[in-house]
Amino acid sequence: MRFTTSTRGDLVEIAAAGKLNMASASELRRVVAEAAAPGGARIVVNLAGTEFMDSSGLGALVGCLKTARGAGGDLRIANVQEQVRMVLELTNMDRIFTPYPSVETAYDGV
Amino acid sequence: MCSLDPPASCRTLADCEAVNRCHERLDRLWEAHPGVPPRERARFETALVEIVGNVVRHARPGPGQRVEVAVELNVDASFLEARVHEFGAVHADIPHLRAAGAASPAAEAESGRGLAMVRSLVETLAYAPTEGGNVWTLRRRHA
Amino acid sequence: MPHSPAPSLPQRRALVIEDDPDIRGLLAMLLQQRGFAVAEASGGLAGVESAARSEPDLVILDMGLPDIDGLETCRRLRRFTNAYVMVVSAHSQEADLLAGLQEGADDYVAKPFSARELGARIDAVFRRRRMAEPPGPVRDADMDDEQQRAAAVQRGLLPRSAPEVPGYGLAGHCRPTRSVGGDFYDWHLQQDQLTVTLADAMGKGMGAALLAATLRSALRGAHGPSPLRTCAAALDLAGPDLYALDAFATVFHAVLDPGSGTLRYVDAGHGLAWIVDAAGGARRLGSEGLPFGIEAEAAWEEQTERLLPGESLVAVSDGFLDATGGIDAAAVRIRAELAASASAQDAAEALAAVAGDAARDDLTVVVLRRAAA
Repeated sequence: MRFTTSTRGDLVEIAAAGKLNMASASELRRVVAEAAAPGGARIVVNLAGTEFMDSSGLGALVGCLKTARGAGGDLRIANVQEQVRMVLELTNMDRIFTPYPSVETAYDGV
Repeated sequence: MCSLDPPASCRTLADCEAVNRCHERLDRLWEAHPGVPPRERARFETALVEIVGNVVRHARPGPGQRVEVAVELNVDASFLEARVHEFGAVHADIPHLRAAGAASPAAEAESGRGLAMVRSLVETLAYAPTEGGNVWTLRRRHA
Repeated sequence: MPHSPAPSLPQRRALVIEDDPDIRGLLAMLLQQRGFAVAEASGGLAGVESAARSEPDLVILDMGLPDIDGLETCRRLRRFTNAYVMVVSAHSQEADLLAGLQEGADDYVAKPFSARELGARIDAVFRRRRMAEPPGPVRDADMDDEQQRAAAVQRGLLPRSAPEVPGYGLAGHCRPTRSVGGDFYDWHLQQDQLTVTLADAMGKGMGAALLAATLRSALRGAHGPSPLRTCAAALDLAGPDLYALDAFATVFHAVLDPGSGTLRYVDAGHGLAWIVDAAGGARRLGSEGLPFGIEAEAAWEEQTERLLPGESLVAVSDGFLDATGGIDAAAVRIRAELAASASAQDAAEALAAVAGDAARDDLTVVVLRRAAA
């Protein structure tokens, strides 16, 4: 999986491309930890290129959310694809990870 | 029922690569069976990867053994079926709690979540001991 | 940590035919614990197919299936298998169960079922006991395993998310420790009434966790607008298990009418619920009744409170009492954390963290906060 970190205004975008599974889960955690480190970062994980996620990928996202919040920031997801949306709904995690339609709108209305 | 790969020829070490290989094999499978709707493919793939992941993460080797995994895939006009063999693994009397003693409540919750997902995605799920290990069977009607 | 001995290979095969994935998983787990290799099917057609292929010795069949109904499934099974068939149905659908028996089922179990009852019946049929715990040094490893399983059962009891109740925040938190108990909290929003429960099935380990599961089932099965009637009905259902195990459970069970803030509740031996008012004062809700399992008949009184805007209901388990050192200290701590928290979620987490790493007992907290007007 490939991760690309960039800033978009006052947001930090982490674009993820590939499959979010046990092989890539720890890399995601590392990338988010880095982005969250300065403190207060509002992170958006752009999942436009993530065609697949399993429970370890989901577990990594949960861990990332905790990391971001623990550092005084937050983490949201955007551009969720079909299979990922299915997994979020099946696990009832779509309440915790609202799938936003775009990176720009992920923190609208806070 | 057409079997795509016999188990003997694709028995491999139970590691991360085993999961990636699953995706590749499924891609080839869907090419061979274009009639399976995308939504059904996604459900089956998700369930299969969860089970293989469960084997990789949690299967405990017997004394002096390594766990190897082999996946048999069967598709016909109505059904999707997968058999995931764990060779060299101890039989877990409660498969999704095999993480017990390993890492953390978080890890257990995660694998519990994985199996709960599988239950919502397949119609039949079985786990039974076999020659040299155990086998998971997943089955779902796609048409 | 020493490797615990591998469980003996399953000698028998079971099949669970049940469309609710959570119940199916629970049944599978119960059967696996009793030494069966388990196959699961989510519907009647898949179930019949699975039975034809795997030749189970035991079939647990839910009568409320979505495709071909339970009765038809039972008929089809009986055409080719002599498996012991137990049909399961809601308590109120007795006719279903009797019809099942006529179509060839061997036994029936009404939902909500008690894990213990089901297990006992299965044991009786198969004359098989759970693997006896080996004596000697291996014991610690077994205990660890059992604790982990109990912890998993306990975690499975907690609700995954809080319902949205306009004008209110609701949060719960359970901080488990190494020695697992039978704490749980539960909530339920139906027809605008919010039901909140915090209970503690006494004891540690798997027994307590399964008892807690039975109790939760019983309370859910009996739920309605009157906490008193719910508790009485739940006692009927869970009572026999409690008596048989010489166990009891403390329960705080409340129903809130969000519009008026009226809170009706029954406190069965719990005594650890407070209403914290907007000025930061706290009053403890009275506990008049005995825990579940002490008396065969319910002798509780239903009490009424009112949650005004800006007020919060806080219920905790006795792990919180241990951690703070007494009822007065507990009240002080609750008032402080509520005052310092912006939301029910923050308060629940802060209260759950009170024990720190030295906690010996599970600590469970529920916070229901009414927004200030």
